[in-house]
Amino acid sequence: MTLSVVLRGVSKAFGPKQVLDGVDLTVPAGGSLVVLGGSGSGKSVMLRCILGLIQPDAGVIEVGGRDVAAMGRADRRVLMDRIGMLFQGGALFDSLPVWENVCFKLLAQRRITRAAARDRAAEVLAQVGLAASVGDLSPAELSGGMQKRVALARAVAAQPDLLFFDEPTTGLDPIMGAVIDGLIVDCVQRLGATAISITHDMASARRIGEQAAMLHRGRIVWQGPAASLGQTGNAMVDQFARGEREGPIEMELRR
Amino acid sequence: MLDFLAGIGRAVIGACRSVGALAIFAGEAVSCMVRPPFHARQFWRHFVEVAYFSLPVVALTALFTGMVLALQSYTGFARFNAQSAVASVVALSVTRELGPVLAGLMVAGRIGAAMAAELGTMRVTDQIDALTTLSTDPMKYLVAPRILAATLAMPLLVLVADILGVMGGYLIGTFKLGFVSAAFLDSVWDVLVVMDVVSGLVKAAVFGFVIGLMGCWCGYRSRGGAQGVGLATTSAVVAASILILALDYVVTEAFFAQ
Repeated sequence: MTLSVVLRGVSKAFGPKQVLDGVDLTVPAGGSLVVLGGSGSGKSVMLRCILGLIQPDAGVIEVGGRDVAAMGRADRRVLMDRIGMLFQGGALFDSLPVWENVCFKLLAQRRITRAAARDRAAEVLAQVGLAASVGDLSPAELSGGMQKRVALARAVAAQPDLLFFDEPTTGLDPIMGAVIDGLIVDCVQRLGATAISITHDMASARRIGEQAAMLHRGRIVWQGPAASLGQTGNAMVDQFARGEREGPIEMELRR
Repeated sequence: MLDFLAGIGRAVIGACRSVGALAIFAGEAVSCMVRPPFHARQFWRHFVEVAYFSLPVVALTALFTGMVLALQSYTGFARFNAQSAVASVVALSVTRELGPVLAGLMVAGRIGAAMAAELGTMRVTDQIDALTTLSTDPMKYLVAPRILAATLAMPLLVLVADILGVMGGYLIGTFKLGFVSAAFLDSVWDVLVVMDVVSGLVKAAVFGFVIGLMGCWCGYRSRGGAQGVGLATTSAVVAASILILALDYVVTEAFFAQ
């Protein structure tokens, strides 16, 4: 069963800097949302608040209809069992071989033996286009694109109901970015999961999202179909989507 | 003047806050050591790292310290015609004091720094957050096994350091200073009591806990990329070294105060 995600009035400040300022956002169960925004707009902070890695100062975050902040340790762990996350830099564990990285969650939950984990890792690596032999390598031996694929394999290996992707194509060349986007779409569709991605790569946003939302100065300023990016009628979103220098965002920076 | 006082106040409040946070961190780490699930593989990996791979540096430190101690005490005691006390001084100094403290300082430099650097790198590359999203408590998986491994491995290292330190004194005593081998060893056996060795091993366990705790604490809280990791590493070694010397006094007072 997939999970819905609802944010109501979520705010977070670090010292004097207000990063999130009353964010309202709804992602229905099974939906796929891409959150856009410039560097430092609070996208990653919002994702970390949803995951419970950062405690918001105000507001409510509900995952699957349950308030994340009100969950006890055990409930939170049950929730985490149903979540997969692809971190921007991959965040693969250097001290473990690739196969153990991929099946880390299954091993941690004691759902699988180490021997079975090797087979499962080979299966999931194949789904992201990697040979089984990659499983025996260390993450440091992989290229950036391969690391992203392994991180994606790790995110989906336990067949989660809710997936988060933090800048999935950052640091990749356009072709590899398109490959990763394709793999993300395949994985999300195969699992039937709810997906929230954050990116500032417009091509990637159009490929992986059904819906898109723009976060600017800690607020959601627009939400609509991802296909309409660039022709939304919202000057700020259209400027961002087209990558134009002149426009309301640039004018705000000048002020 | 008011600014000066406010500055002192802020520093004191900051220090109290840090001590409180460290105490909570230590309590949580200890609690994770006794609550399942246990990560035996992680524990064993770090135990081998501390106990086995620190052995050469601790052994060499202890051996040369015992040798120097024998030479120094011989030349000093010769002024009072008390050269016969060299074996006793070497044995007592090494087992009660120099073995645990020097091993502690060496391990703090080697293992405390490595723990802080590894956890610091994991923090700034999101690996610790990744653990949470993979249904794994980072305190249980990363912190508890490291602290437990350091706490249990240090007494073993100090036991080896005790033996090698006394052996260093014995080598210099018999080959250079002209002591009769059997007489030197008899002096060592006569002067040592069980409590001398036990107190050193208790110190070692305390120092091991402190090394693991400070390494994990500084690494776990590191921020800001490579510079933050470097700062965490330095802080871990400095804090552990100072705490080792301070706690050495506390444990000595507890064992030997009359």
